[in-house]
Amino acid sequence: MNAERITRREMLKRLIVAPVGAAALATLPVREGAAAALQPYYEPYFVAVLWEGRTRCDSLWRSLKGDVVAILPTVQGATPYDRLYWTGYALGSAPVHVTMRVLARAVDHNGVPLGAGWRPIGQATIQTPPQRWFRVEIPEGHWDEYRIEVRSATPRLVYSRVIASQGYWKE
Amino acid sequence: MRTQPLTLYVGTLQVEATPKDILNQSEPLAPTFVNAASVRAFYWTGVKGSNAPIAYTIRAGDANGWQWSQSGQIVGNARGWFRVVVKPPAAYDWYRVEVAGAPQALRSKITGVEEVVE
Repeated sequence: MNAERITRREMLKRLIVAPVGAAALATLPVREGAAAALQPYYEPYFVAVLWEGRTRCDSLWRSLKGDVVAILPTVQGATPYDRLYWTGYALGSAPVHVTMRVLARAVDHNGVPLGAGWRPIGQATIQTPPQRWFRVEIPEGHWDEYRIEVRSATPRLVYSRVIASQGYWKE
Repeated sequence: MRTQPLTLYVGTLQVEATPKDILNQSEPLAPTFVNAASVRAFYWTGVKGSNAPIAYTIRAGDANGWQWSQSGQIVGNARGWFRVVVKPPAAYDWYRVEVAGAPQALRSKITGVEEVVE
């Protein structure tokens, strides 16, 4: 496996200029293209990085943080955001075939979930050539917590980040 | 304008066949939220207590009466999550969130998204 070490600055540069692999959330709309083209009616006034790091994907459903504990969220405090984006790439010279799913839940004032379990938001299969960037749009925003899970039949190391946008109101 | 979330309600209501709002008020003219003119969208999420559907009606208006409403059903399994998104066509001061259905506990939260002038 060809490992590559990059800096956060380099990762940001690649996010901006790299080609984008196609990934579709089931039952949810997916848009492709440059970041500016993603929101033709929605000028974001604020974008936050909710998570960034690497994930060892295997045959188990793992959070991006690596755990298999289903009660743990991947990102918290996501209430203000209209939508989330998951971008990244997988190391290795073989074609990428990673499946992911997004779960969400609401919490009370103390941070306790309103109920057990999660609400499934959508899922996607990411199939790209090696070293190709992918991006998945999660349009169902304003949930308090999300759990983003990935798995791959072939073990892969995925570098990725989750960003969230809070937009101006669509007039 | 930019947007800002505001938690308007978190609580548990015992749903009954008689319509009442999520604050347990049966009086049909009683508002659930007041001074809500700046809220442009409501995100109502929560967990149902049983398999039975819950009928909901959201009314909007002011002290002169209700001027707009949206109705629907919350369906799903017991302990299943639901989400209702409400985007009223105009700014209203008062809102009433009313539910009715087979007896069950409804644990839910309503987040309003406000417009904020920069």
